[in-house]
Amino acid sequence: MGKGLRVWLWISILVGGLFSAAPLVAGDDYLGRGADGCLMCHQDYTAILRSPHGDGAHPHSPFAEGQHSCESCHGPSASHLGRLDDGSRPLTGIPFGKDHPIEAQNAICLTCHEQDAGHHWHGSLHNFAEVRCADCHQVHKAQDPVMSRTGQMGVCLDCHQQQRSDMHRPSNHPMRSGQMVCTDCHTPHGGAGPAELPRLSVNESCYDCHAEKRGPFLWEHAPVAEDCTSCHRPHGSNHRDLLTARTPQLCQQCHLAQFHPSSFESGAGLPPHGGSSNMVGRDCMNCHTQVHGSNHPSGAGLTR
Amino acid sequence: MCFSAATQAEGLSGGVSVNLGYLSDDAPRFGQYSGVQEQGGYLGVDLNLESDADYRQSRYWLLDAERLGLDDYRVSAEAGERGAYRVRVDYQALVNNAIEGAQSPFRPGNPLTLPNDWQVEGNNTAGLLQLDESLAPVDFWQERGRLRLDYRHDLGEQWRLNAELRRETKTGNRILGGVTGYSGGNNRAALLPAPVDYETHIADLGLTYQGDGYHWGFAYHGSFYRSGDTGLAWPTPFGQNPQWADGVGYPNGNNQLALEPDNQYHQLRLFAGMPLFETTRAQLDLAHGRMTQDQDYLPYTLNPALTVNEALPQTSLDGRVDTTHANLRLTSRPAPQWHLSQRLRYRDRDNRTPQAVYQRVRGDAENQQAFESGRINRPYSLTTTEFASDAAYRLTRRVRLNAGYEYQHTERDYSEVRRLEEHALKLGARRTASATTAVSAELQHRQRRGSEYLDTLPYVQTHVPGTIGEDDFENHPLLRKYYLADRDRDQLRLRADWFPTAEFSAGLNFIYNRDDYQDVVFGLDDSIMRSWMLDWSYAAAEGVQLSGFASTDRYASEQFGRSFRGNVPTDVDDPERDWQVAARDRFDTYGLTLAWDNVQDRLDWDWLSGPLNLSLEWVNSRSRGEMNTYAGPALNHEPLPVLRTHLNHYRVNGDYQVTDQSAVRLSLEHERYTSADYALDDIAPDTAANVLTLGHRSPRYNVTWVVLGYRYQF
Repeated sequence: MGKGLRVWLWISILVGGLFSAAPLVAGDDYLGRGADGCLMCHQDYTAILRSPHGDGAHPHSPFAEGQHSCESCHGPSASHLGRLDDGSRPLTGIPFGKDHPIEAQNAICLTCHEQDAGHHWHGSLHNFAEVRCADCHQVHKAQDPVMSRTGQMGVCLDCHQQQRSDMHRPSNHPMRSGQMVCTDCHTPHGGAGPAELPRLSVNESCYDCHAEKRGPFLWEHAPVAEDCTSCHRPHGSNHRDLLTARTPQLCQQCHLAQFHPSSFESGAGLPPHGGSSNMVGRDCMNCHTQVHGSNHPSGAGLTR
Repeated sequence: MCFSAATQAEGLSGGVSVNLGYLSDDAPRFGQYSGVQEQGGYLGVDLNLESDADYRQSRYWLLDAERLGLDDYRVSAEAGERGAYRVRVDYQALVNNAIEGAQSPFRPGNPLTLPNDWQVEGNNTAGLLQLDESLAPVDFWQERGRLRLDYRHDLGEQWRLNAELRRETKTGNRILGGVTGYSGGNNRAALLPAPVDYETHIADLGLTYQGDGYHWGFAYHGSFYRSGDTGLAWPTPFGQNPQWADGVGYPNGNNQLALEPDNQYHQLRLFAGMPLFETTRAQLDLAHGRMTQDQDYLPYTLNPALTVNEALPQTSLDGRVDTTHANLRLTSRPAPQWHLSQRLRYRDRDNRTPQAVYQRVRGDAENQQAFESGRINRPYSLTTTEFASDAAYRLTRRVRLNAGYEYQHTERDYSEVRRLEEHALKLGARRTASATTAVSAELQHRQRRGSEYLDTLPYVQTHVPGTIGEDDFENHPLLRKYYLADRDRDQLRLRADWFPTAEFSAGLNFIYNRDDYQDVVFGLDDSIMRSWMLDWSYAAAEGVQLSGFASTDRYASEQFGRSFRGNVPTDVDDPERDWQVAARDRFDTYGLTLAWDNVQDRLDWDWLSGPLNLSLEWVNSRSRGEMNTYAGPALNHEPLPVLRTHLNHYRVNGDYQVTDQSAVRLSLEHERYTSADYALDDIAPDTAANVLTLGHRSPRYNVTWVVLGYRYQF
């Protein structure tokens, strides 16, 4: 903490102390002293002055001209300066925390963030699970970790532990290295598609980065056109190319035709017993290489 | 190393970091996405500038750059007026290079070429006489570049304009299998280094009106994909196979496959959200889109030695898929303890691509098929309607119950199952048992049932009418494809949290999922997943945070099949040719993190003038895949080796603030990765008789990455 800030805080505390004889009854009046009245005690939150919420130049900021600074979000809290008979302080106008009504806490955020976050929020997975805005966002910090690409993963993975496990698997999207983050695919405030995806279907979301697989192709592969997750686990897999299972067995779950598609693939197809085309290299895809669809007039078997 | 640069200006702040790194060994997979993969030294620069970090001006600009100097980097710039508009431009380069030790006789280009002295004797890999002499290393790499312009403008209090334009390129090469031949008996394949040259332009434009408690708007999404190569051509590396038409084997044979064609997608969307009653909100999404693809076809074959009498039925596909989405969600809070949600989701993929008979030249290895043997394309369409209703009730301040029901109806064409219906029931409870513990449980049962499984339907639909007999089939009649089969799914999720003190917390998660496919004789029969996850966090002292996690996942699946030969009719009914695969996948991962701020205070290191922060990170993950195979007496059987991967990673990082403006960082990262994959290991390019592979092994490395950095902040 800089020296100037420390001096400023001490002055605030002293000035605030003069006013601490304010009415002790729980009232709904604003303190009317900007942030000073709050920060004299809540010194841990002074970083908010260097955050977007402390941005006095933003006309919609709680700290803007004519706003109530901390009380813009926490509600009228003049009585919070006093003490009740048991020695405790009355709650702020809108109390935050896990033990207080979540709906009211989120509602106060949405009064300003309806445009950014609110359009799909109501009924979204996080809303229905009673996740508070403050569970993910640290608005008093100069830099809210979840709003940066470096800090976001840690916040999401605190709860989404299956995804944390998945992203460490040998086949993965570049999440562990931080090149991709959760919001590259998901909209945590609610999305138009399943699993809070921003696009209206799984495939449309995947095509954002894999547009070459969109087609339409002359020879389509039915499950590919329908849903990428029929064969892929997007958060990570033990098998190459994020596949749900090892090939050729994955392919044989749908293709059991005469000769090679139905042939029994075991260690007999590997050295020293043999070298089966269906087992080495890219197994089925040694020949059926265009599994996402082919546009070659001779490519009905997805080999062209 | 020391570098500093600063321009102190009114309101201007930022910093520059210069990082010198050294990688101890070559490790393509370590650098798969980081751009650090070859042994040696690296220089990377991070830079950030901010015109108004103190939020004193209404107008501002930012500049941010990470890892400048490395193959993988990101640059972004933003400017705007707070509360009015914002424009952001960013560029990210992402490299992917994870294949090590690949070799091929094919020389780069399109068409690929073989060395002039290439010689063959026979039609399999044993007859590639100059193979060893011709093999040359192939460096597989891909680089993705993403340029994005994001503009947002608040037009008064209610209207907001959003515009995002993106250009994404992907260049490099990849492995594609190239086959010559027209049946399993005479196919000869080679793994090829195929070019990658993709470019996609994406536009997202939206206009939203925000009223008092309601909003509505419309948006346009356009995506335009272009491929630099329409096809990949290559010479047949194998000698003439007696079953092939003349002129297919080396040196005359030429082959070509089609690469992904240029395509477009346009979508218009209308959305709105509004209160319906005092306690109910509605959210509506309507969208209609069109995918099109009309790239000129490649010829049936590139090989002039093959007879092609009939022209293509059309010069291009004129492919068109119309998509329609309609989502309606009602959310209601009729009382403070109730939370209700109803969702209706409609998705239609209407494939209007014209159909035609294509008289193929299969695998560039035979003359053109007769009309009767031609194949008809199947433009798949799909319609899904989904209804979900969820209710949550807060029984007491500490207890919350929830229940839900889902129904999904799917209609398909060109499919074995025309109609699928799925019902799901969900029950859940969450209880905060005390001030220090909380538990939750959720149980879900889903039941999927389809109309009659018409196993020959897609097979008949792709052939010329009248050419398929009543008893003909492609897949074994008893096969049930897993994504169409009747299925029961049970899922259980348990979570327990324990926070006995303000300093310590721990959580335990368990997930169980079982898919039980009904009436399956052949195909996937069942799959089970069990997953345990433990996480904990401990604030040992002020500024000292210790946390860890451990997870173990188990997957088990059973699949059945029957190996049958087309020329032995009795095989189809012969149980002695049955086989079974019991797959067991296991994945364990453990992690530990220590963050220790102001080390000097605790250790009384008075000789340090500024704060010293240390961090330690360790992750260990292992996977193990067993494919246990069983077969009837008529089949030859050997066990499959175990598939393994093991990653051990740790990083120690120290940040020392030398002065208010300058800091140094020393980071030591060690990563060891081993893997075993029977499809790659000990497989030489000519190990398989009928496939020329690349001879690369599964990845493994053991590297240390050291970074010394200096940061100057102003």
